[in-house]
Amino acid sequence: MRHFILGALALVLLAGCATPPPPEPGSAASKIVVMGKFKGIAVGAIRVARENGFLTAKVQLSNITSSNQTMYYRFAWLGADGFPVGDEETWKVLSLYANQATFLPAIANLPQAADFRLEVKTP
Amino acid sequence: MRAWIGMIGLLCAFGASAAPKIAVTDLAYEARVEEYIHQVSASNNFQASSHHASGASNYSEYESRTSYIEQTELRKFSGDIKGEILKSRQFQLVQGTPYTADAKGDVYDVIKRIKAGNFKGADYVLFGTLSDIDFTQDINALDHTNSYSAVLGLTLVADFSLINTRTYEITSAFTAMGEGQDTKLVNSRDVRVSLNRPRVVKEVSKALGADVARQLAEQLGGGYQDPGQPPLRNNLPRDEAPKILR
Repeated sequence: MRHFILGALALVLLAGCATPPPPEPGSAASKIVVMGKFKGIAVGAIRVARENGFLTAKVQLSNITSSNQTMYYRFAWLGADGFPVGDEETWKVLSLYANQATFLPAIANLPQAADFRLEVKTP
Repeated sequence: MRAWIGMIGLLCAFGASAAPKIAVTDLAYEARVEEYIHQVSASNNFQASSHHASGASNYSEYESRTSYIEQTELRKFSGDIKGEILKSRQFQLVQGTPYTADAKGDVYDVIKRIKAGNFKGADYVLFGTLSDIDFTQDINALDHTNSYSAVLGLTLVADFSLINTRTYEITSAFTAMGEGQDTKLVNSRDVRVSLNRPRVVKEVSKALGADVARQLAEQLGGGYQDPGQPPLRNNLPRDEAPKILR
C-alpha cells in the first residue's frame, strides 16, 4: 500500500514536470510565438482570409488585467513551403487599456505568403 | 466485354477533354479596282513628187474607264493571331481553305463557306474582316534643332466573330487593332530616308494577334478557369473565404 501511494505521488510529480503539449496545428495558438515573456494579454480567435490576392489576418487580443498593458508584436509571413517570404517586419508597440479587447489587423507584404506567425512579447 | 466498355469509356473521356478545333480565316476585304485606259494613235503619210502629191493622216483615240469590286483576303496578318491562340492552349488550330480568285461566292458569306466545307473539321471559325488599314508617313520638325523625325506608321482595324460551325452561334465578337511605327531622326544633310516598312508590318501583326487573344480570353473567360468564376486579371492567387482559427 505504501509503495502504491509513493508510486502514485511520483507519477503526479512527473506529470507536473512534463512540458505542455504543443498546440494543435491549424489552431489560433499554433500561430502565436511567444518570445520570452507574455503576460496579462490573452489571444482569442484569428480570422485568416485571402483578399485581393493577399493573405490577411485579424487577431483578437484582450487585456485580462485591470491595469494598462504594453506589448510588442510583429508578423512573420511564410510561403507554402513554411519558409519566410519577404523582409522581416520591425517590432511594433501596442498599448491596451485595462480590460480592453481589440483586433490586430495585418496584410501580407507579398502575395506568395500562405501562412503566418505572430511573434509577441511583453516588456 | 468489360475491356471493350473500358476502352470506349477512355475514348469518350479523351474526346471530351480535347480542346475544340478552330479555323482562322485571313482578313476578308473588298476593294474597288479602277482601270483607266487612254490610247491615242496618230499616223501621217505624205507623198510628193514633181507632178503629184498626196497625203493621208489618221488619228484615233480610245478611252475607257472600268471599275469593279474585288473581293479577297489579306493574308499578311493572321500568323500572329494563330500564334497567340496556340499559346492560350484553349483551341487546336485547323487550316481552312483560303478564299482565292477562283473561289465563287461572297467572301463575307461565311455560312455558305462553312456549308461548302471550307473549314472541314473545325468546331469554330474565327472570321475576320478588315475594317480599315492606313499607312501614314509624316515628317515633324523637332524644336530647337535642325533635325526632323520621319515616322512611318500603320494602323489596322479588323472585326472578328467566333462562329460555331454547327449551330452558327456567335460565341464572341470584337474589334481588334494593330499599330506599328518606325521612327528615324533625319538631318537636312540626309539625302534619302527609307523607313523600315517590313518591321512596321510585323509590329502591326504582333499587336493585332495580342489584341485578338486578349479579347478572346476576356469574352471566353481565360485559360483553364471554371466558367462560374470571374477570370483573373493578374497573376495574384485566387481569393479564399475567411477562416476563423480558435
